[in-house]
Amino acid sequence: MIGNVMEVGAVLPPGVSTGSPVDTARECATDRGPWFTAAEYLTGRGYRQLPAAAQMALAATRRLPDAGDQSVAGAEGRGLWIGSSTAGAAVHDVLLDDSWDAGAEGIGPLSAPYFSVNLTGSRIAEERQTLAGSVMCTTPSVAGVDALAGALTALRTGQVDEALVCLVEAADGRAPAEAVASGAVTIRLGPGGPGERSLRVRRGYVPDVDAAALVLRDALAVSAEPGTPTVVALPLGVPETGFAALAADTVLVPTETGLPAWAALATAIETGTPVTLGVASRLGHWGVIDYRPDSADGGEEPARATQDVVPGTPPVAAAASRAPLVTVAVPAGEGGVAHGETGSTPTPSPTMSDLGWRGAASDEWALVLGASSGFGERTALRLAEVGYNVYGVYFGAAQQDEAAAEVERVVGARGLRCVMRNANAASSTTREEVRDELGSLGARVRTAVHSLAFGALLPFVAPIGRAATDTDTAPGLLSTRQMSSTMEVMAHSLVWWVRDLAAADLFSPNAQVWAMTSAGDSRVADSYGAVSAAKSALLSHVRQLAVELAPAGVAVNAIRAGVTMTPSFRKIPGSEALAEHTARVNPHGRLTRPEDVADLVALATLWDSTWVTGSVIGADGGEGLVT
Amino acid sequence: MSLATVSGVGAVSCVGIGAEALWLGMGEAVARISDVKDPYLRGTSGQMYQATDVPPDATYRGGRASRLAVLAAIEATRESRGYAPVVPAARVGVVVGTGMGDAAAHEQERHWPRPVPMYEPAARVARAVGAQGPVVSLSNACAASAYAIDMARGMLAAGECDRVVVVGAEVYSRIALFCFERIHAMDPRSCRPFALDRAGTLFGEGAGALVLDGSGVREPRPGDIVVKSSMTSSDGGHPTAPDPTGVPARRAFFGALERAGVDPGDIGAILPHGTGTQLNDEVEAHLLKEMNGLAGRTVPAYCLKGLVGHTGGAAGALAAVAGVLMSRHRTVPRNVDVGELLPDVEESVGAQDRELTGDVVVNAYAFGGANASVVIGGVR
Repeated sequence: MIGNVMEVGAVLPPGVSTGSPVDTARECATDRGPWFTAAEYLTGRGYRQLPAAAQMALAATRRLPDAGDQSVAGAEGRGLWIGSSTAGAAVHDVLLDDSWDAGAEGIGPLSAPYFSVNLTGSRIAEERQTLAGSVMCTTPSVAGVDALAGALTALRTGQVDEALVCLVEAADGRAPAEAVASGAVTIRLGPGGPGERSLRVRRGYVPDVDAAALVLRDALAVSAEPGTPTVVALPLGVPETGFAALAADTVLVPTETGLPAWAALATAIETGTPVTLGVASRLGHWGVIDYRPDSADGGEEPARATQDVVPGTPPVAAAASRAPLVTVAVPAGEGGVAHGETGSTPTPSPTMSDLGWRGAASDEWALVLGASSGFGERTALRLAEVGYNVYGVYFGAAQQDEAAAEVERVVGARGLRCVMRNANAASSTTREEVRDELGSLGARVRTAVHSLAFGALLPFVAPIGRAATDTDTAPGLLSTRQMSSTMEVMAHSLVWWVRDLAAADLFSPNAQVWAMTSAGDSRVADSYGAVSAAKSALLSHVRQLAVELAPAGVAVNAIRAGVTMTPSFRKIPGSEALAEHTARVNPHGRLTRPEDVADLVALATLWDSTWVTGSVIGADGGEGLVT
Repeated sequence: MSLATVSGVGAVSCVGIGAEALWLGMGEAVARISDVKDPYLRGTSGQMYQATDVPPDATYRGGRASRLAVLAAIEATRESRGYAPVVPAARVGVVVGTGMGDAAAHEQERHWPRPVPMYEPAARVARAVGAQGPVVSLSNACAASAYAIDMARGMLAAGECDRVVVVGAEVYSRIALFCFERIHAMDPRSCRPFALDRAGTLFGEGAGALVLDGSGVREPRPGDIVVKSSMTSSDGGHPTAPDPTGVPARRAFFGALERAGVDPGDIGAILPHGTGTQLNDEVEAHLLKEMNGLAGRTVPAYCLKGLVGHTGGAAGALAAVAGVLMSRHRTVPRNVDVGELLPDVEESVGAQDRELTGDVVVNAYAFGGANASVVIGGVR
């Protein structure tokens, strides 16, 4: 969104430097005590019952140099946008205190209407006759960005001819002083045109504050110019990596509101200085404001700048890498995305979607069956690292509960959602409950991992000379029940799960289903008969499901991992000797690790395609080629 | 501006969870008022059209407004999956209109830090539906979510988003109740839009959600329901009382019709703001009567607040969802019986189900002199 700045008026704490935007921002970061008294800033009548935010907003608006008589538009073409992330809670606090003991009687009839936060702007609407509408934005921290964007949109689409945008933050009586400062800035905007004083806004959201800071950094990198001062307002305690490198004159301001940025914008407009402002909220909102007093690109929108900023980048993967997200320079592609025209401005670097990848949407989940140990556990954690919420099903006692709680903790720490359910994944009740819970969470399953190891490891027949009379109850031999349950848990359950998820429409577009197999699916090992049979059946199921689900856009593949020291592997008779032998013969000179499989699943899940399906993918370091 | 296709709707209200429950409730026309359980009411009567049996979030303990907003948004988004192609997360926006947000979560104690930010619902909705575009909280009191629809249309038209999830959400707030009590705007019996002996309004809890797709995602096809236009206006006058001349509200109403390119004769039904407060209903009754004259017939009105109470910031979105449901079923349901009506609206506010034969206009008005009208209709 882009528009033309006409005038600015501001009410900021006394003594705040207005020499340069950076100085103003720095000095507006902290509460400077109760400095605002209405009588000092407002004359006339009828303002006394207004809350402080409304008074400051009114005072700032009255400071517009045009004094209300140079309007380019008729009253019906004039709109008002108020942005304040703090005004609502500030008034609510006072009313809460007033009525805590006294009830409704404690609230004065004159102050009662102001519980409605949009009355912050009602006096301005009256004085300036902004009859096209008065919009109140209350988004945490970035309310000012949204107010500016709303006004610029309305100007661009011809809904208004002129906009007043008032950015106001009220000191919060309950917040610690370092968190909130108060002040107000009112900007008068007209439609953009070449060579005018242009204001441009970009904004977005990622569901994690650290990730939002990184996305903000990359968004700022698009517009930062070496000589342009840059102000970054971040919530307290958010890592500040990489911002200093954006421009020589960059200041980082820890704050819970955008006020330092709004104040810096006022100074920039006053002094005719270009400035770039970045704001992020604790919830993950981010916004960038570019002010250029002598903009040459005026009226034309830079093509989809907002969208080109790492769309859908898995926030946590980005947070983990702390590095430029994509640095390869190739021309941007269409990305197969159904939206309007693509712009003519060259895109500096390809985005994930250009490369055919798609990051996790925040309603996308990884469903991991067998999530408390081995491949399942590691894969669950890896999928969380690339941005997926995790629904894990595991079966066990205290030890598994502990492992599951750890998964829950690690995933939760990334700002993602995680449900770990201790239940038998082979039971139909569990499937129904999980299906319903996924539905109520609004979840879509992007990747489902079937990593269930619950098989009987017993020989089919007794050694010669020790034949039992009743083979089915003979100790040490595989019973028919054990054969059936091994097949059911390790093979058939894949079919039931996938069928239920598909029937409930829970798969995301281009979803992936993974089954785990081993070299034992086609080779013979001691006591491995039932598991081998299950693995063979599993591969058959993978092929069948792949074909049946191709029209639904779901890929089904199996991973044939090399020998890996998982808890299940250790239960196989002779596993230690096998591991020792394999580690020697594996071309890589080591065993397969759970993370080798987890990496493959994560990478393939990010690839937005189902073209690889019905396959058995080796993840064994070449072990299968030499054994 | 171009049309925005409604590719999904969701609703939560006192008649149940889900748009289907809302439609069934509209058919039954029986309101459900219950007592608020709040130990700090200190003598004030706490009656409300409360949402009941709201399932908790398994993974997050947030505010109730957020919860209702998320439930409605999830329902709308799920429905939209059957209609439209996948839109990249960065091209999906969210606008949540809510007056009080999650203020109710602050009303149990008076300490820092607060349990949740007051205006968290927009972020919670974005998380739930996977939006990474602009995520905006908008708080124009009782017109908040009608303003939100207008803002969403702007975001689509300006090319900032391909899809916007618009939600209105409001829940019980003791402070809001006290403040309405202090300005004598509460009806002790029920919410009775356009009733002769109406005595104020009565709050309801609710959330309404609409998934709006721009033409880049989905060119409207015959049979689709679209938001044809919207328009806002401001009284620029008294902070709480509506302009008694009705001029600013009429400007938004007829301006929206003009933007949609429809005549008064094309309008099949009106969902008035109709709160049961003295002045609002008096001013709006003139508008309904005027429309009958302009259309040359009775234009049916459906007063949603008689069924679900005054859902504040959610009112515009819930009424828009009701308008979409009416358009899908081509029916204007009968109104909840609120006793004898203002003479101007006796014919408009019908007691029988009627056939819907045109577009629907939704009105939402609010403190701060905020007015908005939205035109919804089918594509022929």
